[in-house]
Amino acid sequence: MKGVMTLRATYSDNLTTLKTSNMQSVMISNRLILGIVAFSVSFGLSLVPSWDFKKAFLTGIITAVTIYAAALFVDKRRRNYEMFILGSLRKRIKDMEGLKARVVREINQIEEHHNLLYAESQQLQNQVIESRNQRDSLHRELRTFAGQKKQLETEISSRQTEINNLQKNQAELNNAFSVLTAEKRRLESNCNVSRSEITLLQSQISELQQQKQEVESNLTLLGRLKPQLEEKLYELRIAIQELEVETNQKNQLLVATKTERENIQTLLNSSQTQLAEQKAELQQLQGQVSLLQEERDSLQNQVWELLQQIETFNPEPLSENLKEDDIELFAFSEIIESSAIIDTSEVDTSENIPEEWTKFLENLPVYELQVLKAILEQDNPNAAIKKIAEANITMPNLLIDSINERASDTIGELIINSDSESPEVYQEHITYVKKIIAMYENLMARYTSSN
Amino acid sequence: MAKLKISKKISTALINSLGAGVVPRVGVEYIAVGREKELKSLLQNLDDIAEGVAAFRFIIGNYGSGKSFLLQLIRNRAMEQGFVVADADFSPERRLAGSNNEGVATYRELMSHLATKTRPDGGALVSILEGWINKIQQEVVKESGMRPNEDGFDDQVESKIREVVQYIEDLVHGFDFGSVIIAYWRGYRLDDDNLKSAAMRWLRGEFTTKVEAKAALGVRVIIDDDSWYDYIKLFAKFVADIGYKGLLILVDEAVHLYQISTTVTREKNYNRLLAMFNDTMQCKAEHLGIVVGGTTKFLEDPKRGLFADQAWQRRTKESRFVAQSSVQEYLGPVIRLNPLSEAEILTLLQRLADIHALNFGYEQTLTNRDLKEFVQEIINRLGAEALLTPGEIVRDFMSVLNILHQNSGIAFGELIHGSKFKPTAMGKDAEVDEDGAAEFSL
Repeated sequence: MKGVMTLRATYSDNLTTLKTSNMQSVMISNRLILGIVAFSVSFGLSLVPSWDFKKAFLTGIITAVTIYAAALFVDKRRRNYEMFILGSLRKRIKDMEGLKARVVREINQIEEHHNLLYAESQQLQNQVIESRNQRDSLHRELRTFAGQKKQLETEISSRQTEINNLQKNQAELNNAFSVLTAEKRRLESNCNVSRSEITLLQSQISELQQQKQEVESNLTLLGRLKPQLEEKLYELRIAIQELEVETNQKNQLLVATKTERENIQTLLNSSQTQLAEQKAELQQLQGQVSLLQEERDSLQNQVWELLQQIETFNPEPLSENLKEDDIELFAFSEIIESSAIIDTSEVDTSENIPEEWTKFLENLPVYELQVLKAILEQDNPNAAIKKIAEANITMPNLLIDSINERASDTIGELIINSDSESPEVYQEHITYVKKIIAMYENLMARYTSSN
Repeated sequence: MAKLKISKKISTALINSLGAGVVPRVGVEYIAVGREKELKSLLQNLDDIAEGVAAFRFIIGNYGSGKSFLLQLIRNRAMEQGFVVADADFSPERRLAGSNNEGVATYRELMSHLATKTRPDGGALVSILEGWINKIQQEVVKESGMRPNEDGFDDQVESKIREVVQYIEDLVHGFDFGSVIIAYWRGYRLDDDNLKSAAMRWLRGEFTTKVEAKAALGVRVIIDDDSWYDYIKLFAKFVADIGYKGLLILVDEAVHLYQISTTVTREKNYNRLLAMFNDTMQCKAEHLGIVVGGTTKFLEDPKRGLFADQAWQRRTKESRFVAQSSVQEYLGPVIRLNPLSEAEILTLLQRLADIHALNFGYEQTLTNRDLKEFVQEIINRLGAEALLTPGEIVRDFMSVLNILHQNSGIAFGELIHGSKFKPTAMGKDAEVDEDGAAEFSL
């Protein structure tokens, strides 16, 4: 600071000396110029009106001198003024300099303070960094400890589970062991039993072997007998065949005679009924006959009486007109209606159904058959189909599709028309469907009746 | 040919539809000639779908080359094997997407033609629905031991339905879908046929406004243009769950997509098709097969066809090795139908003659030479490209057979060489009857 001040002082000194020397030269030149100008102007001015060089010159010189004097006076005044100002300024400068020195001192103090604080702050930062590092390291250690703790905990739990398992295993093994010992005892007892059985069996075997030998000897004997027996068998078979033929013939005869007998019996029955009817009629007629006879008797009596009267009146030869009227018994020739025997020819249904339809029936589950029956017999089978679907955990259209699929696989065509309002069987297949349903119902009836 | 055994019903249907020039609905397997490799490739796809993987095939061929025929063939095979099939034809009102519910119109058509072996005429939706509900019913019985008429059984089934529906991933409107199924179950238990049919209508996409659906079933959503494809995927999963092998969707007449005039709508449809293709090829859909029948132009036109979009080109273009070795490759997604060879056409005609004889009960007297003469006559009159449309040849042949059968005085040679014999040129088709027969491509 002090060096700077001295430098400044010297600089200002240099400046002032420079200024004064400069000023000096400038002043002189200024004076010269002033003098010259004043001289020339006054010379000129005085010359112009009257061309008197001396006067002019004189006026010129006087002007110049006065100008110089004035200039000098003015100059002095100015200088005094400037000196005064300079003094005041110098005082002010001194004050300022004093102020500056104080400020400088204060700045220095502040700088020192600042440095101190800076140093302190550095120290504190270092401390902070150190403590942060410590904290990080502590955290790390903490984490590692936590990890280790978790590991230990998992290990502990796993060990405990292992222990539990082992305990369980041990318990199981104990159980198994006890079971096994029980088994072993049982097996040992079984073993003893089977040993005794073995001895028994061995004795039996020896017996059986003896028997076997006997049987073998019998077998060889029988082997010798076999061809003879075979011949006999052959002969017997032929005899059997002949007898079978005979029995068939006899059976046929029997059947024929049976049918004849049945025919005869029916004829007999019918003729018996006829007989009964005729008897009844006969009785009727006999009744009538008796009535008529009575009438005849009464009429004959009357005739006799009349004849006697006639005889009494005129003994004329009796005319033999006592012809007995042949009361003809009306022979009712009845027309016997022969009761037509209606042959119930049972159509054996099982012979009219093609093979694929029977196969279809075999593959069809009962509930699908019921669906088919419902479609065939009812106008609106939807309710029935829905019930069957509920019972078998399915849906109505799936049932129809399943039936059609089975039909397509076995018969080669679809049998239910699903496009119409309610499902119906196609026209061309109705007869067969009816037949298979009837067949199924027959089978069911036979089955239940046989049970 | 060995003696065929075809029922009268099927042979009559065959003869009638072939005589009219349409692909028959039943009996196609008896006249399948010459498409063995294509069929084998599609059958491989069926096996894949049964395993759980999905499949997407294009059947590309020109008019009359037999696309609809092949679609019918694979449809019948799939039904026999235990798949659920659904088929629909595109039309100006039925597309994949559009501003006027054209997408859901396709879905409606598919749903009303949903068929299985036991319900071949459509109407399998009710079987699928009941089958799924039955599975849940059986689980409830197993878990809780209750029987159907016990108290609380119906509620248990309802809560189980809700549980299962919750677990279905990617199901849009899961809660409302569950409500529809529960409505059907309730309708079944309480014998309320209105509720049952309302549930079926909802599933078929027949409700056009949410207000209707809310009034009938109490649900706030309907199946619309944005969600119908998700429901197709859902049904594919369902049918696999209840024991069918999978769901096969067959769409024909893709040329109608090609004919959409506004580019924006057309692109929208193609993009939807691309999304379906990606889903199936990346197996995001399970047990689902989609077969699309269309013309070559639909696929390959660089300005309006599928190839206009680079994505499609990359996926479906024939590999260059195939073109080099001129071998037909059957593993890519596109099956191109090559024209039948002459020998195959002769075999086909022979089969037709046998079926005709079997149906009407007479002895077939046409020889191989006669058939060759017939084919030659067709070529003479219409040019060699007549062989590209077997459908027309078949129709003409059937009419010849009918005439011969009805007028036994006319000889075969005389008939075909006479001036009155006018075989149908390609492009002209008789009035087709949509009832009971698949549509033939124009």
